[in-house]
Amino acid sequence: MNFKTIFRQPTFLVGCFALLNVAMYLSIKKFWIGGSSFLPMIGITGTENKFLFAFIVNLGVIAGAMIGAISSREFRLRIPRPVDLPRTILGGILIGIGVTLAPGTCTTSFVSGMEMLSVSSYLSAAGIFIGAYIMFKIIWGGK
Amino acid sequence: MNFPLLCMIGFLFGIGFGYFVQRAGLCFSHGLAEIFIGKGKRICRLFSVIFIITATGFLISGYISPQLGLKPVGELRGAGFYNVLSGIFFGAGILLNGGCVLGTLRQIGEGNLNFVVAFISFIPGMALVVYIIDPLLEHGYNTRNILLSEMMGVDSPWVTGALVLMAVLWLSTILRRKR
Amino acid sequence: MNENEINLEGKICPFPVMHIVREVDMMKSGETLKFFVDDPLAIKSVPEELEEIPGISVNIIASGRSWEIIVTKA
Repeated sequence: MNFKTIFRQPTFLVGCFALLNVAMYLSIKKFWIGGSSFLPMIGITGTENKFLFAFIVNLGVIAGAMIGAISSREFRLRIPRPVDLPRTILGGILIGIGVTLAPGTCTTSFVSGMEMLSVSSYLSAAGIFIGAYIMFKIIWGGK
Repeated sequence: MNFPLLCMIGFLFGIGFGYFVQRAGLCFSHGLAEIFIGKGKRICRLFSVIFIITATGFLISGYISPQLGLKPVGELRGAGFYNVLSGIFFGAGILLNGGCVLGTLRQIGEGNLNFVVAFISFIPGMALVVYIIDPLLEHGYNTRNILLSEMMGVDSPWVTGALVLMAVLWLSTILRRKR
Repeated sequence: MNENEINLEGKICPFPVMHIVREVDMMKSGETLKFFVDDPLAIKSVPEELEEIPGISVNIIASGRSWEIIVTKA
């Protein structure tokens, strides 16, 4: 495993992602939050604009993903096919509900919530497993 | 630090997050599907790496400056019932959508416009809760916000240490079997 | 597109990976399957997921807008 291949190892790259999370917290005292960062889209920017800040960070995530995709020639523009739209729209609505019913869910739990030992994140994570399993059975149970 | 500067720095951190998430292929909805079909080793390995580094980093940050340290994320609503319920909605939504929050952002960056549609359809879901459900359930939310360590009455270094140690041991068993 | 080529282009994650893993589990030895995917995450996770199955070798070729995942069972 020479030096070049280590750089492309997912484990190493995820380690950098985690270190970046800690660096952000140490430098600007903010950690990454996922779901509730979309609340500015319905006009809620949070105390001291914390949700607006998280929304801007997540716009950066889109830009960073684009840079990563283009630099590794994985960028493929794909137009939504009508057959996938109902599934995507319903999925988005369910995520929207999950995000606001109790803030700090999914990616926030797995990336910063559980690491902060936040009890709400452990409960959310348990709920995520249950909800995902139910949907998994609904979609792929039969086949 | 004024707000625009803070946002600019946040945006740069976001670029870093997006780049590494895209290059590593990190997505929890994909990971959950992997787990359900019995191929969960990859996502569990990636998650334990995240857990080890961030849990240790967040714990140590408490000793660097009093403003940092472990802070509860989100709110405990209705003694945790609504947290589990929101997780159920969320888990079902990300599997149906084909991407969690990070996955949706990553795939928009990768050019899959389906996830722009998903991104936009967050709005009705959020609006439904914030403007309709929340006012109804307001009495149900006795929000209390505590850390695992406070709940267990144990100092946080021990709890984090125990969890990180479990993750390290688990990670080493996976890596040893792989070689 | 003969019978052991499966086109999963345009399918949204996690459908490609699910389909591939199911097909590969049912493979007989000496058989070769070719999948066409355009989901960058699939080409990252599939090799690792199929690694544990004995006798399976996976290689990935970029072809035009999508990738070919060629799985052969020894």
